[in-house]
Amino acid sequence: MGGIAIVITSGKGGVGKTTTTANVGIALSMRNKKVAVVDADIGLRNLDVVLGLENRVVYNLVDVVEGTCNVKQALIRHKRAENLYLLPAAQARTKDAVTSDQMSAVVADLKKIFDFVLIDSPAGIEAGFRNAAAGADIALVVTTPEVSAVRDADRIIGLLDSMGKKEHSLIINRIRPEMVAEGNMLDVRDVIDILSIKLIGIVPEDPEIIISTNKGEPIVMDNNSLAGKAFTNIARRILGENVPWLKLEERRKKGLFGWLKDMWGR
Amino acid sequence: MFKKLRNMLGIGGKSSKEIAKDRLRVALVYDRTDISPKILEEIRSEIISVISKRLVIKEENIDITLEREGSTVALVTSIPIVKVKRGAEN
Repeated sequence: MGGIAIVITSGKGGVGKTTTTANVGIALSMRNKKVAVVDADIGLRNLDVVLGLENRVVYNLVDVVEGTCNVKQALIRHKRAENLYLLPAAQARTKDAVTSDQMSAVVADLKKIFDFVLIDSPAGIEAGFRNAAAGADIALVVTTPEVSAVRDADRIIGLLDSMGKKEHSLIINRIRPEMVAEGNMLDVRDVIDILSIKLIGIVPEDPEIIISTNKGEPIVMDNNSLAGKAFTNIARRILGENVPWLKLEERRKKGLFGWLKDMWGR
Repeated sequence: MFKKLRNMLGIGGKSSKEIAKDRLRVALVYDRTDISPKILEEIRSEIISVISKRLVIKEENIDITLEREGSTVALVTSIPIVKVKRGAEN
């Protein structure tokens, strides 16, 4: 049997793939699952710094593929989340250093040891993305409520379908409730309507994410942040729990006009 | 401030979110159809076989394209008719 491989992908860059991989990975590990996170962004390694493990990288994914070391030697155990291991990307190589078959083989090996293998995909729709998706059983597509990110997400969903990866769900990241309330940001329903895909997570924009990345301590480790809760909820949904959606709107700010608009909208 | 207030009341022009949604809808229909000239070719031959039951048409001059019309994408075809087939009324 073995574990489940999940690719985190988006098409567009900068929407939060790496942050999502790190946080969902840690959240799963904190629920007593053995988790490997794989950085498939060869040449632009980042998952190590987001997790605070950059000083401990010895071997990397390309070393494993080329037989310089075995997969266990390349894995780095997280200091605080002891069920979480990182397989870093090579930094001084390019995306063509690995093929889809090689990537699938590494992921298959990891699935024998781990409950979950999370693969952080590079941006784009080229070889790097295809390699990252090759060995995955399911895909999490990350987007933000912006036209460019949603459009790219649609493209990625189409490509995943054409690769036979039909099991995918959406994470909408960086939602700003106050802009949604003003009618100046696509809301969750708009994005779901447009993409017609299953939703697995909604994550608010949160300055704490930048602070946690500065420190190399993923935000799920901080119990009080809303974004941290949102990522934990995604992990719980992956584990099959039925978790209610976070209330992102600040009700007290709604006031008379918000109430009037609600009446108007009926 | 006034603009914000209008948006909150839901009156006045379209909100920027509505504009974004409309633009995305159209862009995605276009993106999604973009991938399959093969399907367009199939539609073309199916249309020919249906129309040919009733009308004699110039097959080689049939033109099928996707065009944006406002907030929708339309399948636009132009089919030159040579003549109506005898007994086509039945």
